[in-house]
Amino acid sequence: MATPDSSNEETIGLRPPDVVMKLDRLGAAHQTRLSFLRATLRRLHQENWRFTCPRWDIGADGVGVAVYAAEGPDRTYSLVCFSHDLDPTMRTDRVIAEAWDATFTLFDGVPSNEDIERLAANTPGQETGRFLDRDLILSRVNRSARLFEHVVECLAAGRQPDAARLQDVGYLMRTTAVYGNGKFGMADRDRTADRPELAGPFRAEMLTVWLIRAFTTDLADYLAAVRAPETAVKLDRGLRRGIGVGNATGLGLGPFIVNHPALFDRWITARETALARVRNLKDATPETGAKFAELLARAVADAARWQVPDPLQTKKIAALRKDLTRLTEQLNVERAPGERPWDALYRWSEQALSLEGQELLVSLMIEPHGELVDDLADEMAIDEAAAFPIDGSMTIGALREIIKNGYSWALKTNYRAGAGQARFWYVSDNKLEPRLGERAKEPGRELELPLAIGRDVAALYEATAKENTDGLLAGFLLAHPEHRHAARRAQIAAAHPYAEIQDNLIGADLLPLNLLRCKLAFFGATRFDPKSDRWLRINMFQDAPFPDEFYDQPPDDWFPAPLESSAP
Amino acid sequence: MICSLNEIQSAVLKATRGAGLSWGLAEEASRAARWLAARDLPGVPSLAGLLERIYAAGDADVAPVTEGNHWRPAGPWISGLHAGIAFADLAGEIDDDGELAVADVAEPLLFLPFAALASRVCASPLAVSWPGCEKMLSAGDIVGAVPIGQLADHAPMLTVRVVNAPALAPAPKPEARSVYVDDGAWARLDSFAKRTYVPESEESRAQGAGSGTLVDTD
Repeated sequence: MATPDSSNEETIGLRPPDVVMKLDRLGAAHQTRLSFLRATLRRLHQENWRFTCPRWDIGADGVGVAVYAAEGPDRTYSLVCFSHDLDPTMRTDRVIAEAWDATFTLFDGVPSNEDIERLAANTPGQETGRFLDRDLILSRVNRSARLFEHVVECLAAGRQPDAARLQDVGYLMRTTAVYGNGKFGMADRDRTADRPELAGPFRAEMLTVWLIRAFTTDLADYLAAVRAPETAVKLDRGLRRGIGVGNATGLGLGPFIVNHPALFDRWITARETALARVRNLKDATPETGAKFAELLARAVADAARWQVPDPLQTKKIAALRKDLTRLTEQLNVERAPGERPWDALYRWSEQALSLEGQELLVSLMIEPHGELVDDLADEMAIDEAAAFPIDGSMTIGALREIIKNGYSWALKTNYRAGAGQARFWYVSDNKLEPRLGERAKEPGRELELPLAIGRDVAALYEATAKENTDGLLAGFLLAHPEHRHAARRAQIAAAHPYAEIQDNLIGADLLPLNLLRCKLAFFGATRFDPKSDRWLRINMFQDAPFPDEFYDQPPDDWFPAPLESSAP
Repeated sequence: MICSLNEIQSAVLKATRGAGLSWGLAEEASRAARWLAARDLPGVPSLAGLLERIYAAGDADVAPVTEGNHWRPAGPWISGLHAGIAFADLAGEIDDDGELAVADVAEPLLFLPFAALASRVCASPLAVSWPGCEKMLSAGDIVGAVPIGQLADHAPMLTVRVVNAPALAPAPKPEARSVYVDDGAWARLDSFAKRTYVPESEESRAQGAGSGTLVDTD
């Protein structure tokens, strides 16, 4: 293993927040090996978890119940699956749908028949169901109508489905929501946060989606077999690996990274620390150098397959392809003596590549350095309650100082101009989901959610301008409770450098998609496919091993997709 | 009904905002209600009662006037929530042998989570009492048995005394589990929470979450 540089050269620090936390850069993020689905599978593999399907009661019509069990050293988690017969006209990707092709609950332990009966009465209704604190996660999927039937038909006829069509869609079913953390009466996150296997963020959600993926291909195999028991074959394992779980994500996901500043700081800090560790390496070992070249070739193939209808993303992908060509050429450039090779490459990219290219390079540079960085995946959670209390003993002068230092990006925006606060975030009455409205045109701006961080901190700065600088914040907030949330943000940001997205989240030029893309990249999503400026399709676990081959495959080498799977 | 703690926190956040309090105060209220519920204390009914009184009081100031050791109402009475927040904000200023009296407190139970927080900040046990209730808080939690009997919704006087002793061992942090919440109190909260939702309009329907087609058959 390579060791960080121990010479007298200056240590390369983390990239500064005013670079990292710009929304267009955050919106160019890619999966890294610290992403939550990667970290989840690594842990399961290290701990030798076992996966079984103890129950499969599904009829020839595809309707019934199945249970998948994940058994670890101390605990078992069970995915209880309800497979339905959905009228195709009811199939919608919007979170406001009311019926799905299959619905799921991740249960804490091994469910009894009574548990399954209870879930059968609640899980299919999703948001209208009520759950208990042994239920951890709630989710649902819809079939990709064009692909699912094609796959079943081919397998029933004894042949493999068309690889190009599989590749084109990339999943048999897509989720439209994955709920956890106490929603609808389920277990609070606190209940499982101290279990080692679920200590990182969204681990239970990731386990759920990975098991759902196995259900989707098992169901296709099964339906083919009951349709034509004489001729049916199973889906080829290589083809199967290219099938992930699709996901359609709308605005509802956006506010999370804004509402959890201390947590978001941990995520970014972990990734930036990983990058800095790699940049500080004095040499690239032959192994890591060769692995990086292989990953780059895989990224080139992957970018060639990344095709979306969205014109803006299409432009970015075109730039990325050029970036990857230049990056490949750059590997042959002789480096100056004494230069740290990864750092030199990164610094070159800042001048030479688009944001998509720069951020993909970050992911690719981190990728071959698991031994150096994987511990950071365990540092991406935080007790947010500890960061919450306001220190009212802080003086107004000190508060103004931390705002001046941490929020210069916010203080220079003109929020009085129409474009400065053209939008507002709110919760809609009809499905209780976050939405983004046009302040001038739509009703409800008085019910705005506190996501206008820049504007509100700037307002706090202005409101304190004439206060005695020696006065205590406590006294100011007692008289001005309307500034309380902004004061809390300022104090959190002072202690958590990557807490704030340094852009105006209510400006006319806001691209909400960037918020979603950033969070999804931390999940470990790939194949970002924007469908508008505020919702997108993605893929999760594409090219990852399945539970029934978990110990026969390299567990953690599937980003970017291995080359053999890219052949159409 | 049986609720998760997160449901309580999230319902109280919306309800407090719906009753007209600022987002920053709503955040405090939501964490306080969660803290109380996790300890089987009736934070949700207390909060629902307080929000109704605040709403009925219109523009009246329900914060304390925090001068000296005797806080008095700025308006008709002092909200237990506001008193608690003001107290926790000043936790760094608490003297070793300080004493505080707060007059005319509505829903005094809501003061407790903030006293608990203050006990951690000032690293001294705090004795909080009002007629019918006496509790010791230390290191961020309640010391000794948690149950509190029938609670008054109003305290003519609430006192806090700094106990000049090293921090006492508080009750262990309660296990995170779902808790029983009174249906009536939940409905009262919900009626405030609903005030934060924006009804659909032609414009919002067009924009929505951005999904163009409702039926997706690909």
